[in-house]
Amino acid sequence: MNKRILVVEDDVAIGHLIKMTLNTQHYEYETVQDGQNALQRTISMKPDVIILDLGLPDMDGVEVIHKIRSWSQTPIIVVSARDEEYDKINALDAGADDYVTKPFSVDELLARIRVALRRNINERNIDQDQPVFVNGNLKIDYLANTVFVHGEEVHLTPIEYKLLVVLSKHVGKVLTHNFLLKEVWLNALQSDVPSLRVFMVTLRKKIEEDPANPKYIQTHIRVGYRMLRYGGDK
Amino acid sequence: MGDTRPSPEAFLAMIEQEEQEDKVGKLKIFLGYAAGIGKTYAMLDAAQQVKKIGIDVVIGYVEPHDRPETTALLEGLEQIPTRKIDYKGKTFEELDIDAVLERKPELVLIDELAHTNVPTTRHLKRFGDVEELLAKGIHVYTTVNIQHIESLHDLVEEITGVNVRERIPDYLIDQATQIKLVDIEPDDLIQRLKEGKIYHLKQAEKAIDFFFRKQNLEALREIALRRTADIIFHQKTCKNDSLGQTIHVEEHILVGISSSPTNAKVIRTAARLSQAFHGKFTALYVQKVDKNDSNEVNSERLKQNIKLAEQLGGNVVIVQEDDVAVALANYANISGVTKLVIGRTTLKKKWWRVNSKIGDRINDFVPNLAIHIVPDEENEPMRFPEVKPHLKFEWMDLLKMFVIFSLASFIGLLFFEFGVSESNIITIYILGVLILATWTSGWIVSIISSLVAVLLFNLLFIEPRFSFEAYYRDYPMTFLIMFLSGFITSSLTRKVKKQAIVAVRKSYRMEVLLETNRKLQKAKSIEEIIHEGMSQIVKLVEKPVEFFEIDKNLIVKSIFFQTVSMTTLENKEVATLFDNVSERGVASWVASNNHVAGVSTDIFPEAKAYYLPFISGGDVKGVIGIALAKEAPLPAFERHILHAIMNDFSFALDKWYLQKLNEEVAREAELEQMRANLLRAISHDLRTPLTSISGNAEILLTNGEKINDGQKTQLYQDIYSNSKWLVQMVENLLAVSKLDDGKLAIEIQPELVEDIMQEALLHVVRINDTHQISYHVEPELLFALMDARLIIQVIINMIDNALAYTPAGSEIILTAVEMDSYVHFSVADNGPGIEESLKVKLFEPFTTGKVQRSDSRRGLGLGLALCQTILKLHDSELTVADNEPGGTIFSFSLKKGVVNVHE
Repeated sequence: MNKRILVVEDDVAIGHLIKMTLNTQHYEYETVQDGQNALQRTISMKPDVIILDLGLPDMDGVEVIHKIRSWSQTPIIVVSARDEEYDKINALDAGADDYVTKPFSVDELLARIRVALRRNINERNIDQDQPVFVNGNLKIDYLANTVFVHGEEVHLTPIEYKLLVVLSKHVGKVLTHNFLLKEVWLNALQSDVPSLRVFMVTLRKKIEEDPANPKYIQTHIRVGYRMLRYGGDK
Repeated sequence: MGDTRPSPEAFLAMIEQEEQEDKVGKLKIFLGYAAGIGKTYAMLDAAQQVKKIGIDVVIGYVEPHDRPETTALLEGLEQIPTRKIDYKGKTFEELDIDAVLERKPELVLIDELAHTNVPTTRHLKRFGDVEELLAKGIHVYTTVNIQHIESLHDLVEEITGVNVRERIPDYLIDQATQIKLVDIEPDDLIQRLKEGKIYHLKQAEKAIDFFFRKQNLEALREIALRRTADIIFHQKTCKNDSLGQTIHVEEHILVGISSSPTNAKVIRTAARLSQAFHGKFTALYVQKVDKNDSNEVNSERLKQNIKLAEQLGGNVVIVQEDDVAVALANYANISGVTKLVIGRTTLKKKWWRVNSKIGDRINDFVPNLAIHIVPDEENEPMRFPEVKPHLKFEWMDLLKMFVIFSLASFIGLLFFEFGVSESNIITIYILGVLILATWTSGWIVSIISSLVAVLLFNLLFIEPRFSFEAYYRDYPMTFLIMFLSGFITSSLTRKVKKQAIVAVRKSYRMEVLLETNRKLQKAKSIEEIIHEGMSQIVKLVEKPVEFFEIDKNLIVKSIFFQTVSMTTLENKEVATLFDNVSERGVASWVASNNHVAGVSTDIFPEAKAYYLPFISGGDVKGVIGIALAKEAPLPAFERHILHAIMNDFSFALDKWYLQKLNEEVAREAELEQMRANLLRAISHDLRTPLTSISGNAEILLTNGEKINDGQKTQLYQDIYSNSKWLVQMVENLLAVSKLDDGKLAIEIQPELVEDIMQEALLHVVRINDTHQISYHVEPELLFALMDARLIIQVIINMIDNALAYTPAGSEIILTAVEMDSYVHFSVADNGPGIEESLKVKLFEPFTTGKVQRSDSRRGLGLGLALCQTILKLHDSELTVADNEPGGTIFSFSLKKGVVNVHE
């Protein structure tokens, strides 16, 4: 069965472009132009991925995310012309999984869709409470609190380990700095972002084969980090 | 003709003044000449009238009256509950000023302006409350009787024989916006009194006998009418002044201030004189060098008299001079004084002088000066100037005396052996007395030393030697003369010494003032200005000082400045004193009312320090608290210097703010210019790719079937690459728009350099992989302070620039290395390099390199100009240098970010 994608986009030209792109990959899709219809179609169509434009005529895109998240965990990719990090962070904190900024390339959009779909499959097929997380050559044993790369155990500091666990539990989703700080440090301040960066560098050094060209953890400048499925795009 | 019309500037000033007046409340005074003439009635009646036209009026305080007509008028007016204060076992009702301030009515009624508040309230006098309310923009209606006006005090006392204790300064009356004279025939008043409308009948009878005699009332009424006329004249002249028609002040009245008890009357007489003549009024205090206000009562009275002169609108001037007559004459001469007012006591003083009549002496100096001599029946018995300073006798002085006289006796004996005459030996003793006078302090030492000198001389040298007898009859005379000359020389020496001390003190103060000026000129930052200013004040007053920084009437922070004249422990004690809530309350009151308060003032006299507001640019920028003891307020001279320092201080700060503003404006203008240039350049550059895109799309749409696939691919390629390029342009545009608000809008944070590099590389437009691009960060964990978005844009532009201006196959290397407290970024290529002549103009918009390749036509100079602007906002700069062996290096530095890792 083909994957179903709901496209929420009020601009005709962009909507056209997205439709064409999806067509080439044989996805099943439907487009709606406002937030109200988006909510209705999400219920009736049960899409696998939602592509959501933030600037909608009837309601704010972030509000749509909030509403959808109240009953559904369907991956949401935000498309935005708003380039300010603030908007992205708001959307991500509201529950969006990923974002693309206009102008985006067709390849980029498709890559994001694939990541989102894979996340959906994983979450459905693999039990969240599984004691072991495997991603490419990376293996995390949640029960023993140990991490293996290429079958060899690597030593992580408590903070690094917590960070890795949080990222792995949300694999495929962009996690904002704030979210990570709250999860890992509990009583963190916004000003601790630089220390988060430091730990991310040391963590990458331990788990990435080529830290300059990271495969597992992706950086989103001024926004946050995301763990990717190994072998996925980007 | 044109002269009589006020200039536009004068009108502007008038409008400004009116605007100013709008901000402060207006005072209307209901003036009467005796109790019971219906002031309160008139006030309430007026209040009812204005209430009808919709003005928010409340009663702050109205004396309780039994008169039914008056009580009826209270009907319908909101009353603010009075504050009940227990004082010495009794309960008093006072105006609750805080409640009124909170209620914020348009108009408040406050009866009896001259009332003295019960201690522990904020202001000593009710008029202080009224002034505060006016300053807060609340209009006030009040009542007052003519006998309470300060300058009329003696006059009223002469007429009625009643000494009025509660008095208000004249300026209150003169500056009132409206004066309503409440008048009634004295006969009618007496009639009302007899009917028991004012007092109870028994009291009334007494009152008629005593105060309410007809001639009394008539006299008071006349004074009231005259004074009202004066006020009208005063207001008229003030208005004319502001219109530019300055009325020439013909009369200048000068009065001498002294600590004499009768001086107050002299000052008041002078004030009345100046009112009558509508002249200038100056009060001169001659501070004598040798008299250090020894007597506490006297110095207190002196302070009162100075205050009185100020209140009566006098300009108080203090000069240092030993001779009062000379000082008065000199001042009169220089300042064009027309009339001098002095009291008779002044004449009697200095009784021992040959030319004792001070009036005569002044007359000698300035013959054309009119001198008014005020008689003083209330004079206290004449007292000798109280010369009892330093009556204490210290043991050290005795020791010194012993040493000196031993030495003198030794030399004397030596002389005696050599047969030197007695008169020379006397001189040696007198010399000893003289040395003692300079060496010791205390008047008594002089007497004793003179006496001892005489006795020693008698004992050691006069036949019979070694006894206090003397054979010759003329010796007693010699002794007396010796004693007197010893005493006089020592007194004179002492005086010189004192003068020297005073002079040194004075010059020290002046030095402090000059130094302040110099130091403030040099101060660079606001902190430095505050620090220097405060240190100078501490130096001057020799007391610890607290500076409260004020922003929008709130205390932002406070800094304590300790004095070296106290121990650290004492300083600490004072510092904790300033931490007190009530002290801070006084400081914030001073800030919001822009008025001095605390020790030695009428406002918060219980406070522990003297607080003065510090104004710069029209706002209270700070409050200075000087830890003064109640017993030792600032001497007048110090206060003058203090004000001078404050002025300097405020100038310095004004200057600093202005300079900052100018810099800001200049920077803003520069940024504005750059932005305009950039926008122009970008718009220009947008045309080329847009033409290409739309043109190519048009060909494909209309003639698509006529061109072959190869050509089509070329067209698609062009559309794609041009739009990619446009995207980059739009990014630059966004960056420019972010520069809109200047430095404020950019968010500088520590960012991981490696992340920035990677992100920048992701966004570089690489149509064909023609160049080798690599990056290198050293050390790995390198943070730099930046606005990430903008710096990424800078790096992208630098790489784009390198891509455009180097042939295919060239190598581009990005590096970021730590250098001390900076991170040095560079983009190096091994292309053909840039000509020396072009380097200078490189960062100007519209400058593009002269290149051979036809497809790199775009205005990439623009990108560099934008980089330069962004970097300037980061306090950095883009520089260009030649690479070895060939090519170009663009580089800039950013401050290193320090990250404290939070585990």
